[in-house]
Amino acid sequence: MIKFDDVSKHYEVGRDALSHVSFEVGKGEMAFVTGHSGAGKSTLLKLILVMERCSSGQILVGDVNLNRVARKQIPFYRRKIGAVFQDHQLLFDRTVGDNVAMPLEIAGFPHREARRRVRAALDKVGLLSKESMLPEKLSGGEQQRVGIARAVVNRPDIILADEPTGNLDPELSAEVMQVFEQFKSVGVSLLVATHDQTLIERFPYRTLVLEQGKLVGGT
Amino acid sequence: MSSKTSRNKQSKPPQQSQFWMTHRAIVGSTLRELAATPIATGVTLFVIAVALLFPALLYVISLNLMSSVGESTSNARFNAYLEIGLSAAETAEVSDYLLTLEGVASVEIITAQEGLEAFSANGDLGDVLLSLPQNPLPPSLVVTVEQGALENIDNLVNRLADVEGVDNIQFDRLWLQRVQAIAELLQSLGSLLGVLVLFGLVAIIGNTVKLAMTNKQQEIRVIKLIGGTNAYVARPLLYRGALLGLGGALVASLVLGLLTLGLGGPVAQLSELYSSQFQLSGLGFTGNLLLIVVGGGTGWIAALLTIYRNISTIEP
Repeated sequence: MIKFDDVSKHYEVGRDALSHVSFEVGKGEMAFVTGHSGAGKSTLLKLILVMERCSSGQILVGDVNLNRVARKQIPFYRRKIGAVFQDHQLLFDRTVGDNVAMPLEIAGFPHREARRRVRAALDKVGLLSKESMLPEKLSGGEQQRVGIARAVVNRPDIILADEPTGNLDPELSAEVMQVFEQFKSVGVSLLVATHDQTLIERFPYRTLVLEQGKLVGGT
Repeated sequence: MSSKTSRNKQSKPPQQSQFWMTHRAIVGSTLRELAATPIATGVTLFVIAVALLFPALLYVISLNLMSSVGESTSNARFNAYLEIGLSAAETAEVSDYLLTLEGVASVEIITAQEGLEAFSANGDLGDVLLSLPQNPLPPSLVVTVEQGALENIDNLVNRLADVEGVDNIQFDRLWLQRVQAIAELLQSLGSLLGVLVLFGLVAIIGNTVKLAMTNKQQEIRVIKLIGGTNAYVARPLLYRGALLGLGGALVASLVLGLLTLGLGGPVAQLSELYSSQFQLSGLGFTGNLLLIVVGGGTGWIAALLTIYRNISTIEP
């Protein structure tokens, strides 16, 4: 599903953010990406979302070669990916429900169908009662879960999550992981970047360890 | 990922009604956004309206001048002096012939004798005329023309000059010419100003849209991050530009209407004093429609240009 083949990314200044990274995550597979901050986790996720392009090597996501995907095709490619961001990336002038509905709205879903799916997604993360609230009224953990609901609402093929449990207590973290596992069981591939060691210990999935841009374990 | 299965479970083709609902929703939310910043929106609308008002006003003034020329020519009359010594029968013959010409409404005969009497009633010169052995005045015809353009009257005058028995025609057209020239000048000025104003509007609305883009930078990034196309991002901004242009044009049209209404009374009074039927007219339905369409269209184009230039710079 996600295949990195000898991928490097260097910026003009400084050392390589990623250096000769190769790994593969299959359909219906979940994997952690871990490493110190600055080890290249974020760069890796940015490459998969085509927020940046790799300097060398090749990335295949599904049947899409990211080196060759045209600018115009990027939006349609991104719709197949549900992304959870460390800083949530919510819009604070819209309600929780409207935030979660955005991917459906962009894809042109009929309003009623979209609302139904939004409620289902919010229910999954335990925030159904907060549908019509503004995100700023929510705690950091709740905002994080709104971001998760938005990532899964369009039933993506791939879920990318950058520190999805960063603001959550162990109990909520486990709940979020259970949501992820539900998606995994229906064939969704998940890549979860985290430095939460207890989480990795509790959920024994394959772990890719990055160190200064190099993959040092878990290929 | 297999694109087939993903297509099945992810994207349903948006139906027609969905399309209109989406656009209505965008217009609604754009209007709400504009209403949320009433001062900024008000100032922008005011500037757009004032800019549009100048050429529109010039156009209306020139239109009214033109119609006032038409009004004056509708009552235009001129004197055709016939050759001296023409008999009454011959005079009547010429008069009858003139009546058959297109554009001639009526002809009044003033015989040489009547002319002499009219003159002599007017004081000193009359006595001199009466003391002459022979009446030096020619018989003349007062020709009233039907309403028409100045050129038509000119043609008529030229044709009359060639008619046998007609000696000389007196027609004071200079002031009419002046009014018409001024009206034409105002109209050209209005067109010229109109073009300048359109460029100005593109700049004003473009700037407003650019500001909106800057304010929405975060939103645009998020939308692009979760699969929004440039077209999706552009849509509300296009509506913003079009709505601002449209709103400004509506305000201009309203102000113009009020001006016409307010000045209508005094102008009617004035024209009554000149025993004229002239009435002040506004842009009219077509003119107002044109103003509004041009306003909205310019806003749309301005937004389009701005978005096209800037949208690629806002990337996640």
